[in-house]
Amino acid sequence: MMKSPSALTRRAFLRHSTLVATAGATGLARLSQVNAHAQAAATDYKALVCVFLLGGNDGHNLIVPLNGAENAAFRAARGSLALPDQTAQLLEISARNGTPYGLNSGLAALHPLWAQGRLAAIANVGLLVRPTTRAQYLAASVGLPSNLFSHSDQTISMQAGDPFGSGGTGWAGRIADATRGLNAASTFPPAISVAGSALFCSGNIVQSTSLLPGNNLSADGFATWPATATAARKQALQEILTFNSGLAMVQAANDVRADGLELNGLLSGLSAAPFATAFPGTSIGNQLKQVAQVIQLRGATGMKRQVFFCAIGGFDTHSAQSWAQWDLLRQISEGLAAFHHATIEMGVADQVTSFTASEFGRTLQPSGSGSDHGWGNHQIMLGGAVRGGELYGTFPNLSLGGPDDTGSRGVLIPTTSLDQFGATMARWFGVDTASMPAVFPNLANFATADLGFMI
Amino acid sequence: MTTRFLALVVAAATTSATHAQNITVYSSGNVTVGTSRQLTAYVPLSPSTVTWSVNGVTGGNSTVGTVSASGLYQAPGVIPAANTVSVRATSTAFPAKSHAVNVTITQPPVQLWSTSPRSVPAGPFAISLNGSNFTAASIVRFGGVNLPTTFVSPTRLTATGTAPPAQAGTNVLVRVVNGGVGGTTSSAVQLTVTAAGPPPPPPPPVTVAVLPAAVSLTVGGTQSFTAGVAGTTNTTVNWSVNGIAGGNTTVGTISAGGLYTAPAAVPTPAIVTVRATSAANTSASSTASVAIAAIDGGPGAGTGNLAAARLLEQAAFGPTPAAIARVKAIGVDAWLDEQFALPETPISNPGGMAMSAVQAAHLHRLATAPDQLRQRVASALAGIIVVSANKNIYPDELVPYLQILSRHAFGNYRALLGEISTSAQMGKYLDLANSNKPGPGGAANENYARELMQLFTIGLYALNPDGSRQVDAQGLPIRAYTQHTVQQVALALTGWTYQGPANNNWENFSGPLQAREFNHDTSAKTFVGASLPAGQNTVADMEGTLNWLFAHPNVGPFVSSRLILALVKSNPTPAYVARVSSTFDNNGAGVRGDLKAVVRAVLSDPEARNDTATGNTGRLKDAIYHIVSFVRALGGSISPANQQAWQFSQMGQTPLAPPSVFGYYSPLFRIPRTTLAGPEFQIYGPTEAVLRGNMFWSILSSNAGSDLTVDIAPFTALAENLPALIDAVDQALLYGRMPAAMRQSLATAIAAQYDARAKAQTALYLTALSGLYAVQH
Repeated sequence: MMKSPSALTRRAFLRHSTLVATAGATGLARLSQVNAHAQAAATDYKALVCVFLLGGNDGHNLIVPLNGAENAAFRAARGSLALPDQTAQLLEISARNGTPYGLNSGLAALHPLWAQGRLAAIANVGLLVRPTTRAQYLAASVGLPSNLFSHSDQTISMQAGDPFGSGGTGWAGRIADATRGLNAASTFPPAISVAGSALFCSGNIVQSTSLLPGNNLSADGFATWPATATAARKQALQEILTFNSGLAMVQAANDVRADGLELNGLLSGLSAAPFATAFPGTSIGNQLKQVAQVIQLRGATGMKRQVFFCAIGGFDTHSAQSWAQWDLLRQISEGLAAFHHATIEMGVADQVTSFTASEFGRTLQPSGSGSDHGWGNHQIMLGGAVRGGELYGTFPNLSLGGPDDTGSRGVLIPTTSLDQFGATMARWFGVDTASMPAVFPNLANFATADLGFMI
Repeated sequence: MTTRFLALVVAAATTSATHAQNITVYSSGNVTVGTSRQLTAYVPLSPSTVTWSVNGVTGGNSTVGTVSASGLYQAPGVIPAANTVSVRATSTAFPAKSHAVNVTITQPPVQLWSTSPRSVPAGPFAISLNGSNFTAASIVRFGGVNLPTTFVSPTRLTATGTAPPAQAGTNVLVRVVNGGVGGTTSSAVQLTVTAAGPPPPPPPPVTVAVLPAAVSLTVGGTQSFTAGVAGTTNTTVNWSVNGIAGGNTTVGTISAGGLYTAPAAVPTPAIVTVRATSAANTSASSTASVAIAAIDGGPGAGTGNLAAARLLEQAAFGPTPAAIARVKAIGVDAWLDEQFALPETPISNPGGMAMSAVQAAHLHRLATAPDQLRQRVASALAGIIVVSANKNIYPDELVPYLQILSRHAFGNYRALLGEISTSAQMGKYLDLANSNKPGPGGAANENYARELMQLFTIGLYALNPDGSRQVDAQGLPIRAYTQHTVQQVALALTGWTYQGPANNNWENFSGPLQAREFNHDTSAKTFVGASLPAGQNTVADMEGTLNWLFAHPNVGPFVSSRLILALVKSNPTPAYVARVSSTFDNNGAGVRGDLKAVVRAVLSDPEARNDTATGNTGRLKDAIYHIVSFVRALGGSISPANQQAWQFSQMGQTPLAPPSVFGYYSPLFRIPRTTLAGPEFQIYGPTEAVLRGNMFWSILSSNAGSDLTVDIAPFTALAENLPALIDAVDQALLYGRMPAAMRQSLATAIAAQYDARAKAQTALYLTALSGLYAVQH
């Protein structure tokens, strides 16, 4: 009976075995994507962090135009939803050309970062097949994304980065596919969701890995009395996972559980070194804290490129929108501000870029105290590598029935595509030009592949 | 001669009697083992008679040799450890008068007569020596230096050595030394050392390189080695293992082509050397090392329940003790017949808004329904033809779809396609409901058309009957259809709406979709290899489209592959797919798409019924199957009103709510870094593995309350009998396939637990966490 003394040995052995070809050179075998990719290993660290606003955030009340004519159009279209109201005030920001805008005061914690050049926004971005005008939309004379305005479909499509929601992979997963060579021999998961399993992180090669915030993957069966009984169980499990069955599927399943044990070892050590930065105790705060903790492990894991997915629900504000949205934005703002401070604390503020996404925007025109499903939407980008203090893209015409409206309720046709938005960050992250079409299949349909908001 | 000495003694005694002198014995010296020597005593006494002794023993003995009354010493047959003996003559008249000599018993004296050659150049040399009485212990001494010596025969030795340059031009004395007790040294012969000879010839120009240089194999494993030969046109090599040409069953064998097969048992030492030797120049060779390890986690032999349990892993949500007994009693075919004939377990629609009730009932049904085969096949169909509670959030929007899958599980695939295509539930999920004929410049909704082709019937690429993709002259896969086909099918399927009075009705799930000619596109449609004429009504175009798809040669291999993946294994051989596919094409009675026949073909195929696990066999259990089968195996149940859906959602498998039309996982998903298909691995990462383990623990600890119960009392009862407990767990979860090493690990862990319950829990928990249990195989 050959019992290897360590997982490393086990895998080094299996690597050569003709019976089993499932394992990698060193730990976390299944999550490793090391292979013969042309890219050389990166020397720097970069992370992309998506905060997904489930339900369709009302971007119109995220960033409000303050210039006379635009603000008048805003007030006319929004009616009772117009800001400021008794909950949400507007925090003034300006674009580089001096055009004034107001941020929903729910973003108070992030507001100072605009002036510091670390926070930027992009106007009216969404899923498109190709640039689309109101006339083209009304005539259906260009390809349009399928199932617009459907939560389930658009949540899939926005994460897939595909206007038809097909293919079964997400755009962050494909970014991880395209940059897996940059991680060289490191075997830690490159695409992590801290909000349950996420299509966003699934690549064709890279597997989406989920980590639960605050859960260090400890096994319940290993918290029993007395300690010697637990130790004996652990020892036996280690042995059971190490035996060579000669069966490839069995071996692969054992490797997954062994990876869980190893991740548990890594994650359990995190609480020992807490951040000076205090994270809010909200769901999104806990998620972002978990992301920060994983980033903190980069030295130990040797990871160079990682993508993360966080999510926060409740944005489907068909009614009672004002306070609800302000409160959700406050949670996001406080969470992201803490996260950004944690990246400063770790010395990686210039290497970590976070951004918001949502399945769609909402109608300008209210429906009672809320708004209905829309299309184009505003998003924010945060980090030292963001050319902050600017509003990117083309701010839409807010007139109901205007040139950017699909109809008469202010469902706005995106003026920038998700492909362009994502590709700008992907370029910074390290996706080379040749790989870009595989990550964003419709990017070639748009004039600009890089919107210039990343260093 | 003896007479003369005797006369002398007598004479001396006679003449010296008055002198009272001492006795003197002649003479000391060597006696070769087994030979004799005459000794003489000079006795100047009267009487002159003496008594002879050896080492004080009168007359001696066989160990030290004997001596006769007349002084003839006979050496023993074997050299004594103390090989010098004392032979004494003692006066019989004057016992105080005696004298002794030492006689040394030696080996036969070694003799060296000559060397060949008689002269050697300075530097390394090899010589042959002629002589006699050489033994295996003979050492050639060159000058004062012992040389490595080889015993060839008693008259011939060979030796190698190195003559230092300083000895050039001199004669060096060579001797042979026979070591050991009584050893002897030969006389010397002279060996002439001449000046150093010409430098040795350069190493042979032929070189051999073996790749790979080092590998690890399990017993019985194979590795192909290649040998590159340079410096000669003859690239033939001869392979050996540990110096044995072609190897053998102990160290492994190697073919003339370099294919090494490890032995069935780990050799000692466990690392063997594979050598390729150039046929052109046998001094040119290269080696590779092979480390051989046991398959220590390999399955045990299985018990008498194995065959039945394996069938129930594939044809049910895992075995129960009762189901195993039933299969064993009536056999596979009769059990399948029995299952086909069982009444369908009803799926009730609670209505209202609580999908959680439907999810709870679903889990309960999977665990407890008697018509297990129907549940298993319907679940497999749900992975092919997807409607998700993600979008269809109310019971009315989902339950009738489940009923359709259940009803058609053993029916005909064409009928299933027909009913599903016009169901209001699918109509909502993939937007066929209210898909109207487009206006000028517009297009019909393509959602259902696309998935109907890609996911439900023919797939993206033209297939061979064995499921492999057809390729064109450039080796590229041939697409089964184009975007144009999608648009044409979308047009053919226009005109369907929910039940109600209008041409386009609001969502209504009380019955199937209804046709509205007002909204149907009546133009002619062209597909791939088929067309629909202009002017057909909504129903005729739907039927024509489904007939075309159902008749497509892809459907057999496409659906057969998916069912095999869902029920049996992730990596079927093409031949297995082809066998099932042919049954799909024709059930034997000329019927195409007979799912009952297809299911029987899937489950009774030799590849499914092969109980010996090898290589890539098996399928990773998904989360729901893993937990449900655990409960069933341990005599438990899932309550009808359980609240466990959230637990499964944490593990990536919210019951009835796959995240997209692609289902919970893609049939194309490959285990990372391998070429192996492993669809279920897409939702099995470290977190999910830990959460499944925690759910097992929760169940075993009764923390799941009445939601999930198991009966571990039979195991607790065995807790103080380790082998019996492990046997019982092995039987329940692995059907007797637990490897010996795993039993040992379990035994140690169980022994460390403090009470019977903890012992039983430990045995079940650790086994449930093993890859052997996670993979249905």
